[in-house]
Amino acid sequence: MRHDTFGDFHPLVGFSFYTFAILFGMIFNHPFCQLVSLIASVLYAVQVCGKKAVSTLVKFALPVFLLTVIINPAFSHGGVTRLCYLPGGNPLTLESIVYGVSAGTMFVTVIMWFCAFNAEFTSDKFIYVFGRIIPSLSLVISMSLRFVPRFKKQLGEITVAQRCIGRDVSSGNLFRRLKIAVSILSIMVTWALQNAIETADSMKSRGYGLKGRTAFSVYRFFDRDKLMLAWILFAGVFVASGAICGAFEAVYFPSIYFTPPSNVFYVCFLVVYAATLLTPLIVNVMGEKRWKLLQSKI
Amino acid sequence: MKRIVSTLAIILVCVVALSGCSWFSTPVTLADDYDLSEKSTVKSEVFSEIKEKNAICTFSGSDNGYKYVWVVFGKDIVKPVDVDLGLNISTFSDGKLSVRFFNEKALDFKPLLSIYLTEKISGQSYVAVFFDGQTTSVSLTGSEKSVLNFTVLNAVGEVSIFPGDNGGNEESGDRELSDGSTVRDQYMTDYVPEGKPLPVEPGEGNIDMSVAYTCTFLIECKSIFNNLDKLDSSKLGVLPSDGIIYERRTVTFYKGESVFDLLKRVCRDNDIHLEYSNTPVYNSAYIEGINNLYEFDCGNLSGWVYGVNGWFPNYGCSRYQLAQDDVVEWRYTCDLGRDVGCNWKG
Repeated sequence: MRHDTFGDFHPLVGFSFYTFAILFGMIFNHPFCQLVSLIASVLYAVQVCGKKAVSTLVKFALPVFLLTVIINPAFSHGGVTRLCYLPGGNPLTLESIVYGVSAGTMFVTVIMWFCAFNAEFTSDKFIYVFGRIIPSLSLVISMSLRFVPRFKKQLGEITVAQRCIGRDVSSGNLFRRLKIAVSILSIMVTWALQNAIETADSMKSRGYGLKGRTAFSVYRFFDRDKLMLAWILFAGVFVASGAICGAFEAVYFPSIYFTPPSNVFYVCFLVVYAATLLTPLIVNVMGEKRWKLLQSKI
Repeated sequence: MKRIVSTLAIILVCVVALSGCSWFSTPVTLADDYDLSEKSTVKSEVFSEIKEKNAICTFSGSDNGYKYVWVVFGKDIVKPVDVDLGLNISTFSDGKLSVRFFNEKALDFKPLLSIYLTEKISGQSYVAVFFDGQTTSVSLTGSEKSVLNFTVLNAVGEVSIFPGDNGGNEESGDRELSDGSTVRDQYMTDYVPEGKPLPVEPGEGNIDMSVAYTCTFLIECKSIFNNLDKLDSSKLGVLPSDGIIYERRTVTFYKGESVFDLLKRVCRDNDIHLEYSNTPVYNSAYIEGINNLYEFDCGNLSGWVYGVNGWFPNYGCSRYQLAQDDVVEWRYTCDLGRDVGCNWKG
């Protein structure tokens, strides 16, 4: 496992970066922006999550992409470039296929950004960022996010325990299996209820909700965090103003039109967008180099 | 580092490859309206700017209490020159109107002229005759007050507008006509007025390809020129400069065919874009878009409607069976059909 230097930054930095990447990844449909965001998201997800990111890409993101590319031309028939007629009588157009590719790319990009986000942005970071603004909601979100994997783990344990006493869900006729499944579900619900009460009691005994309580956190706001946050905020404002100026305009229907990178400003907007998205990747690569350099000196 | 360099190289290659593409060509835009009320002469610079920007520009003025609007497409202008776009309009009476152009030299492009009348006039067909004998059909639009729209073939001298032959033949063929007593049928059709053909369900009357008839067919979208500000700006590029997608022509159809069958064939034969969907509730096809001009592209009340012999049927185009000498018109409406002559009550 590689060391994730960008993950060591203050949670506010990470949060603003993912907001930037995911928001603009969803809004911009200009092919250059999409290409840049796609490449950055895939590279970064692979760097942060390793093999898990590759399997997400192949097993989930690619099928979604192909589905979008196939489904869009089947339902939208606008566009001036007719390729052929579909069996239903409506035309198949180049524009609808290109739009399908664009929408598919957007899905893949956002999936890959979330893949990296889930690995890097742990629940303590989440609570740290939102704890002061929306204290109870952030706790609920964090607990419910944790609930699903915990429920799954407990379900596995109960199933194994039940199998030991002869109640195997995977054998017997349908009626028997159903009966066992229902009893497992009953055990699950009982456990969940009791667990909730225990959690509540535990929180109460530790003084949750009392006045003057402070929350411990390991995060400090260093100069490097200041610098990084300033860079991301600047890039956000810069890129957003570029988008308002029409630098990333893309129209797919009825004929395809993209803003050409014809003037210096438009190229600047694109370069800043790309640089921002590649920032965590570069930070991690540099961090790793420095780590190796320090190791070799020992 | 290697990875970053190769990424940048890929982006660069893509930029170069895509730059050669027509996907970067300037889209058609809508220029601000040019007011002719102060001075009706338009300088050549104005036209060169429109041409350069590939814009659509409107020039509006008024005379004799009638407002008039020229619609000029930048792509049509060959050589920009000073043009006087002023008009002298006579008072509209007995369905006749004469218009005198201030301009003295013929134009190298054919703009569209809309004259806003002060009353609602009836009748479907009007004809414009230019001083040199050229004629063009006038399209009637407008919900509250009528608007006469026609392509100016020759912007010199005088043009007179008068009612044309309405044509159309409702009784021909062996269609079953309504006696006015029809009740709401299973496909939500309320009632068919007396003397109008009753709907024929598609698939019922078998099409006989050995018996050919002819009818007149037209697809036009001139009402958009009265509502250019409402049009989705991305659709300006597909707007034809004369507002006509398929010029009024006599076409052949076969016994038992519906308006929809004919529309589909005409569009296929002439490579006109058409998108439709089948709506089982009304047992008919619904025309979503023709020539990439879709429903709702020009305001919330816009879309395609069809009229046969001056009547806009209150049932779908797949259920209207054609007869010899029918006059079929597909028109784009910006006001639920009211602006193109559909006068349903309620």
